[in-house]
Amino acid sequence: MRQPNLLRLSIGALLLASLSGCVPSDATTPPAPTSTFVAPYATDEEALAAAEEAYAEYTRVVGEILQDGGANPTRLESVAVGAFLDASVDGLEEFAAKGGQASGDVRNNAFELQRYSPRGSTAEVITVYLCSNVSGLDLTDQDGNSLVSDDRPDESTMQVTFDFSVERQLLLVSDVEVWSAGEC
Amino acid sequence: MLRTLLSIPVLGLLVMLLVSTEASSAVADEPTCGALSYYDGSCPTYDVGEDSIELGASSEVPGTGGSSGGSYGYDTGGAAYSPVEDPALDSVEEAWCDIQRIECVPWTPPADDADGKTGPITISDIASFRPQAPAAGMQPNQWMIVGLDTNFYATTSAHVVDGILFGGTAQVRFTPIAYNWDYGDGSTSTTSNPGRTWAKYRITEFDPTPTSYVYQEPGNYTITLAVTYAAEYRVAGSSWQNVVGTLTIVAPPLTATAGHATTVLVDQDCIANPTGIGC
Repeated sequence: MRQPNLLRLSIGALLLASLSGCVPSDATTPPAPTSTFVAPYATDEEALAAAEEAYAEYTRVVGEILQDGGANPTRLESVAVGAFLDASVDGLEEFAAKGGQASGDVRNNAFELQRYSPRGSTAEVITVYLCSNVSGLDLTDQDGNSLVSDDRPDESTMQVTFDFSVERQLLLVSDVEVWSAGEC
Repeated sequence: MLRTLLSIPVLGLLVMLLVSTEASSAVADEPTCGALSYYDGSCPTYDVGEDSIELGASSEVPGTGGSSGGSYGYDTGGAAYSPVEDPALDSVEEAWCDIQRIECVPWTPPADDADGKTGPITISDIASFRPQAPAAGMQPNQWMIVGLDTNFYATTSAHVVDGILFGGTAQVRFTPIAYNWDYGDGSTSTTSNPGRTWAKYRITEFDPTPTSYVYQEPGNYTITLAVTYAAEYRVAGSSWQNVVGTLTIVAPPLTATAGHATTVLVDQDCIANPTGIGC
């Protein structure tokens, strides 16, 4: 009689131990600490210059994809990231499906630093304001119909946020919002 | 005896169910505009909450002044407010009004005060300009776990309202400058940060944010957000001028329940099988 009781106890303990091993779940696992991250720009001025450079490259790549009728929009991965990248690729694929054609270009100026957060997270490291002038850009479908909204302002102040890519050691556009439409 | 014991491992496929918070964060996510949307003008211009007031496009007869002055339509779809510089137009003011698609009324400065100096425009002078109502959001939506961070955020942004100022056509720009949260448990906080969703911060649910708050006691709470706006005005294409004073608007309150989270062992997914063991 004693032996089965002992067996029962040990199986019970084993079961308890195995169950308690189930407790951690993905839903409660904290993200890997990124507090050691420090962005490589020593001053606000350096951060702003890097953001300007990154946005110029972003504008160039978007322009290149538009000139190619929206072909291979995943090229944008070299300059953008996250949900903004996904939405951009979707939009450019639609543009390609319509047989989109682009002429002219976009001009950016008046870059102004809103925020530089060098420590902690690689997300949203830099946010800038800039003036984006799209008046020279024309977009049409394959039949020559304009794809530009009638009330598109010629220029707007944009708020652009950048994540830092540690692997590539550069800034990627992670969010773009109109700060002030029609005004710079 | 032993068989009874061995039947326990049949429940070895016990599944841990943690209450899913996916739905709450999904609700708060907004569609993101892509690169092209900013080039073709299809992206909404202002990030306003769903509870924002839609001002009608009708206008009262101008010139009545005061609080009965007309309110004009405000197009969240991207109205252009660019100054007009076409020299062919007789009057910059008229052209400016044409752009606004509103009847143009000459603007006269406010009456001089007793000292013969023009007094500053104050917040009461622009009472007829109605800013959009702010809205408060929270994650998880309408519930919180005692001891864990609940993420609160405001959805409002700087926006321009057209109207009549001293009998003349004018615009007022409202800019949110402070967010006052009353958490309903006796605590309040004032921030200059509107906050944003966990998804937008790209952090895990229940992570602290600049605007998160931790409830200490279970219960039902009413959370109230009051947003303070600074205002500027401009007339006939002139530059923005400060308005003295601020305007505070209370968002529709949120009601939510704080409780303790309990981890339970269940046989299967309780959503798929609500009557299952442990559900």
